[in-house]
This record gives sequence, structure tokens and C-alpha cells, in this order.
Amino acid sequence: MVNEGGRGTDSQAIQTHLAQGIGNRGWIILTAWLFVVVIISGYLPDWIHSIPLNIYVIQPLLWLSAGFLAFWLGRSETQMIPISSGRWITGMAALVGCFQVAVFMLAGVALGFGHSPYTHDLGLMLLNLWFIVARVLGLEFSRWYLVSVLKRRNDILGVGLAWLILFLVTLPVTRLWTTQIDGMDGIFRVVGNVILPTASNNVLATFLVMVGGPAASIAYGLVLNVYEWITPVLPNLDWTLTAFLGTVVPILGLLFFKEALDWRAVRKGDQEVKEGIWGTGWVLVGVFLVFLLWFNSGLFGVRPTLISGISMEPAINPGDIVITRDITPSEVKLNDVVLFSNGKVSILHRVVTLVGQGENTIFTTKGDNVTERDQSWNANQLKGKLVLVIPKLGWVSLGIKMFISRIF
Amino acid sequence: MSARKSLPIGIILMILMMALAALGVGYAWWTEQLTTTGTIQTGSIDVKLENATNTEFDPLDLASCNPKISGDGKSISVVINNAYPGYTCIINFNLVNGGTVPAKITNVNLPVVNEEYGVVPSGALVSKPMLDPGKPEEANFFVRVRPGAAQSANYQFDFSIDIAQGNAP
Repeated sequence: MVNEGGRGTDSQAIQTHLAQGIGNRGWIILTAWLFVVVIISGYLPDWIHSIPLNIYVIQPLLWLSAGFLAFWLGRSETQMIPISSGRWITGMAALVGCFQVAVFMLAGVALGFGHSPYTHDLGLMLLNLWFIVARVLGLEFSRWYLVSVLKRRNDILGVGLAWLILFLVTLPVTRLWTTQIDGMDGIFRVVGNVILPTASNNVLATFLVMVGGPAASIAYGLVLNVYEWITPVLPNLDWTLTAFLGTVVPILGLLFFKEALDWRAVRKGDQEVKEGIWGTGWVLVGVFLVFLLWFNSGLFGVRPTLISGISMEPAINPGDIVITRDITPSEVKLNDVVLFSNGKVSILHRVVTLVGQGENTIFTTKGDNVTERDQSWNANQLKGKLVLVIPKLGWVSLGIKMFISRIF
Repeated sequence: MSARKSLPIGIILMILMMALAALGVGYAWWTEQLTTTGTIQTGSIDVKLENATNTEFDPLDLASCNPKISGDGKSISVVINNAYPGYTCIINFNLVNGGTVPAKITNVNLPVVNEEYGVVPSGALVSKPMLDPGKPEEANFFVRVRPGAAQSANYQFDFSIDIAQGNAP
């Protein structure tokens, strides 16, 4: 017979023995199980036709099983990242989630909301909450285990692999299947709307696990998911804006988190903060440049144009930059100032005649400062409607162009 | 903060930003291609000459002038009888665009300049306005018999115009 203490030693020994048996294969087992969970979840509706049984029983249990597996594997490892790095960091992670939610809500306020597809019956909302919590716990404990174990092997490749595994697991496969990928347009939409934001969210979550343990990444994940499932309205944004915000906002959240950590370290006198060559400033410059690039390409539905002529004086002068908005032919009214282009010439003039309807409309334009009417335009030569004139700003760009042309 | 030291977070973020930039450039380039290779639906133009009338300057009250629009509405034939030097006939007519897109006059086909008479376009034929669908435009030209012409001469000629789509170069 063994005494209590001995039994304790026995179970520890068994655990150690099991862990040694598993050895370095723990992460492979967990990864395999995660993919099994994803595949089973994907095919469940075909096998089990009861939706409540599927969503509220089997799927949460599958996710929890992955979480428990990660937790159990992690207990037998040494050098694991601590589960939590304290309330301050966990709270900061939740704040980063709130920031992300706030940006999307703000975009919704500016550009309109659509109804949320999720239920708002109180009982079902609680059940949804159970599903969300189970999934986030499963994912984040798995992330914690994978990052801890793989980081030990190789700082960069290991964390990269952990990121890749979780990226593939969290990729909304059902949305990839149901989205009609018709040609190039569909590919751009899927990459922009699904793949890049998922990648970006996973970078942030991986970073949170490294500095704050699963407590931080769970706090972040819960805020995002609870918002998505509970709010009655979701922002109704163009795919380009969803792509841009979905990718950039987690990056900004990460920078904010990193700055907050540095600030705290300095305040506590823990360490001197050294800014690497890829510090916050450079990333912000990158974000700004990409924003300019997207803005200039008209991907946000508005585009800037530099004015060089005098035909619209005094409303618009040479050197002004005008912002035009994408518009459908039937939205154009008489006297609107509209941008037309036939591929060679672009003209921003006032509409003086409108003949026909919709796509078959024929427009005639005239500059305020000229007496002659322009040629007439087809609806498909319509490029946008004037929304804003920024005086003089264009001289900066003209000046730079002249400067460059002088040098070369 | 070993994480920050060991993992070049900034590089990963830069890669994400580059992917986003590439997506933007790719999409913009692709939509631009679409616009330039897409088919442009063009409407029809169908300009006709209508309601020809004439006003004469005929101090001797001898000559006559008869403009007649051809069956297809594409030309006017003018017959002048008993003309004499100084006789002038103004031919007024309407240009009607029966098509769906604006049209414009690209060329006015006059009879060869003659020693005995001249045909001079005026009004809308000179200013060459845009002809919006369904909106008649008044046009005219006049025939003036020159001093060198014989007495009681008879002349006959055709007049027509060339039309192009309004946004043609």
C-alpha cells in the first residue's frame, strides 16, 4: 500500500513519464487535434442536422477539448509562458480589443450600419456566449502552448510556425467556401476581407500571448467576439475599407500595447527602452504610406485629383486638389461638378445637360469660366463627383515634380 | 520584455503592410485594366434634315428656288430657275437627331464653288453645335448668284452634312 504522499509522487512520476513519452511531439499532437476540430466543425452540419446540438454542444466541447489538451500538455512542460502577467497587462489587452471595436463602430457611424446576422433573443445570446467562450479558450490555450514550446526551439521560426498554425485554424473556412470566388475580383475580396485581417489579428494575439500569457489573448479575443455576436448592428463597409481597417487596426493596437509596456517599464525603472530600427515610428510611417497609396488609388471610394486648368475658376483654381467620390450615373444631377475621363483626357466640369437614364445617360459639361460646352460623355466615362476642394495643396506636388524633373 | 528583443515584431508588421499595399496596387491595376479593356456601349446617331423652307431676295421677282429634302433625310437638293446676278435664296431647315446619343456636324458638303453662284453656310452649320437627341437645331445656308452669271440661268445642286458621335475627337 502506498501512502498519500507516495500516491502524489506516483502521479507526478506518471505525468513525467507520459510527458517524456510524448516528448517533443506535443505540438504535433495538438496541431493535429486542432485541425481535426476544424474539419469536424466544418462538416458537422452535414452529419448532424440539429443546429443547437451542433453549435451549443458538440462544437464548444471540441474547442474546450483542444484547450484542455494544450493545458495538460503545458503542465508537463517546463519554461512555459505564465498563464497571466497580471491584471494590468490583461486589462490593456482588453483595451486593445475595445479600440478595435471602437474603430469599426466609428466607421459604421460614418458610413452606415447593417443589421447583425446573429440572434438577439436573450436565451440564445447566452448560449452564443457559451460557444464564444469555449472557442476562445480552446484557441488561446492552444496558442499559449504552441508559442511556448515552439519559441524555445527557434525564436523567429518557432513563433512564426505557431502563428501559421493558428492562422490556418482561425481562417473562416466556411466563408471561403460560401464566398463566390468569381475571377480576380473574388480573389481580391477574399484576400482583403478574410485572409489579411485574420493574419493581422493572429499576429496581435500571438504577441499578446508572448507578453501577457493566454489571459491577455483571451481578454482580447473575448472583447472582439462578444462585440461581434452581441451588437444589434454591424458596420456596413465596402470590402476595401474592411480589408484596410481589419489589417491596420490590429497593427495599431499592437503598437499601442508595445508603447504602453515600454512606458510602464520606464516608469517602474525596470529597464531602459531602446528603439530598434523597426520601431513604432517606422511602422506608423508604413501604415500612413499604405493609407496614401490606397487613398490615391481610389480604393476607399474617394480619390484626389490635381487641377491644372483655369476653366472652373473661381470655384476651383489651378493647383487645387479636389476630392471626388465614386458615383453612379443616376445619382448625377444637373449643375453637379463631375469628373469625366475618356482614357486620354480627364475633365472636371459642371453638368449642363443630361439625356437618357442610368447607364445610357449622356452628359454634356461646361466649365464655369468658359463659354463653350465640352464634348458629351457616356455614363461609363463618369469617374466621380466633386466633394471637396483643397486649395493650393497641389502646388506642393507640382513643385516636387518640377524639382525632380530638374535634377534628372 | 524578452519578446520584443527576440522577435522582430516590426518586420512582421511591415510584411503585413506590404501585403496590404500589394493588394491595393494589384486591385487598382486590375480594375484599371478592366476599364480600358471593357466594351464601351455606344448609342446610335441618326441625324435628319427636316422642314426645308426658303426665303428669297428677288428684286426682279423673276427667279424661283425649290429646296427638297431627299427621302432618307440626308441631303437637300436645290433647284433654282431664272436666276440672275444679285439673286439670293436662303434655305432654312432643321437638324433633328433621332438617335440616342448627341451628335455633331463634322463636315458640310457644299457644291463646288462656281463662278456663277456661291453657296455659303450660315447659322448652326458654322457654329457646329452639339445635336442632342430629339432637340431640333435650326440651320441654314444661302445661295447667292454672282455678277458673272448669265441671265435666266438654271442651277441644281445637292447639299449634305457629315455627322459624328458627339464625343468623337
